[in-house]
Amino acid sequence: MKTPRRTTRILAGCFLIGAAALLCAAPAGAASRSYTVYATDGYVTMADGNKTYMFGFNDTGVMGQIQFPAPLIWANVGDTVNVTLFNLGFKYRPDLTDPHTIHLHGMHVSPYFDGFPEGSFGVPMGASFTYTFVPSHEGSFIYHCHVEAVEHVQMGMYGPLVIYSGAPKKAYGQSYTKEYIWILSELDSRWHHSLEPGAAELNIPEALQTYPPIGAAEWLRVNYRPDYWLINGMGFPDTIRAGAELPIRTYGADGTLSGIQAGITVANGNLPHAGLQQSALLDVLADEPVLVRLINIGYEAHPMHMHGEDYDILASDGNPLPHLQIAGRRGDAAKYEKFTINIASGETYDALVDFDSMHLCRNLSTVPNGGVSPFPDETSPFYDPNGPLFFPAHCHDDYHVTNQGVYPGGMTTLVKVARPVCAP
Amino acid sequence: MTRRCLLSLGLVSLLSATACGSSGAPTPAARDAAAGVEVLRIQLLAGEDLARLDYRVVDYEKARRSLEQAISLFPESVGASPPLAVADIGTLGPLQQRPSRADRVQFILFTNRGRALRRGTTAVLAIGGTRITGIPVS
Repeated sequence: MKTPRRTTRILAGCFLIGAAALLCAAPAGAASRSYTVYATDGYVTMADGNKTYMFGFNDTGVMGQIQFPAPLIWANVGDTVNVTLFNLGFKYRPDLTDPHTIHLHGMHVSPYFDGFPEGSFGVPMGASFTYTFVPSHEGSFIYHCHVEAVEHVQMGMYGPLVIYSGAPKKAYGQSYTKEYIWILSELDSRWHHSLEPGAAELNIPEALQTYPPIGAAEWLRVNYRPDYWLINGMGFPDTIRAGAELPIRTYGADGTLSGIQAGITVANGNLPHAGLQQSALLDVLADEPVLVRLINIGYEAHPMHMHGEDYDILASDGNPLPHLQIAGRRGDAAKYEKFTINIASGETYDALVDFDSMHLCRNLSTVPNGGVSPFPDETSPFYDPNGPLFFPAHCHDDYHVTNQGVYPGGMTTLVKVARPVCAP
Repeated sequence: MTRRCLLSLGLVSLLSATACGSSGAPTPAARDAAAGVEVLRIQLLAGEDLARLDYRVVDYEKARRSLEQAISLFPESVGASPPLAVADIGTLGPLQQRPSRADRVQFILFTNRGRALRRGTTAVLAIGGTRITGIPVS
């Protein structure tokens, strides 16, 4: 029989062991980070001026205004992350009373925090819930609503979730100077129109089906035929806006249409991680390694092709690729390079891109502008010997490089490389 | 004779004044009608190294024909500035959307050599022999 004093000692010992285990599990500097995102609806303007009805998230708490894509949520490995979802309801479709969730795509969490409503619950209109998790490894992930996911994801309820190792400007042990996030997706504007207020009056073609019992028309999802392909919620040439050119928060002038279309904003005023660029345009120097996080939340695969250089792939779905896992540290001989990464729906890749001045100078010296510059050859009055070099990066399903079928557009961005100084 | 001369001069002056008054500053739509497009705006992009010109197709056939001609852009205030060319990048070809149908908003990307175009100024679009002036740069 245990005496009370002995029990106290055992309990104290257990407490110490538990505390030590917790200290070991949580890296030094682990923090608690809190985010609040609000679910609602709104309008977003495409690159050709078409306004599109969307569902989405924002960090402002304003009903009827969405951020697209949803604001960035980030943390370091070992941080305790609290993401509170508040369901504001829809301003433009008050007849819809959908619940919402946050699915932490790629995080290892319990079903309770997984956001799969059939396995847990949805957050009803007017209510909130806080999802809590402690990320165990770095990488690029996604969060999205998982309620009737086929519809809510298509309608725009997704954003980036990035977990850092904690070391500034390092990914999987590799150094970079700048970091870019490319969220790839596509949308079928007819589907969006079918959910718009007054959809019955719109000329929606064959792809609606009617449910006789309720007399309502609903989009037939197998007729998915996207007509806009997007990087960070934008089609080309909106994708090459940078810095002050980005309309971080823009609202319809008529006061009724509203939309927020941006690069990547960070929820709740949290400062972006060191090096993060809020643009899909890569603005680089020669010999400068930059990190690109490619995240596909669309329903189609997207082979993203880089002109002029290769991707140096570090990881996929937050897992270092074998050459990094085996070597522990990487030598030049142990690279995994590709000029096209085919990214499946729901998949992510992290890759370095480093435009080599030796390649650039060789091309510039042997071919007029090496075919890499938008500027014509040196005999032309248009030639600019000091101008930057531009390369495209785009989905190589080339019909994805259109805005409603008009080329060029869609899932295209540019890399702007400052012209290197080449030896004569 | 003198009275007739004076009357004629007065009539000419009146007609001239009427003609000037009726022409005024053309609306953007009227200004661009010859090219079959309505030029909407110019935005500087990519750290001001590229200029995006948005246009609306007003007359599809006319726009299709006119935009097959040589196109360039000039800063309006600097007469001697060299023209800016349509950006042309590798295998993507010229970064210029061809007119697809009436009432579509489409774009042409120009290189902004030496950052000649500046925000708050105006530019001139040259389509073949046609000049569209007074386009604001934002």
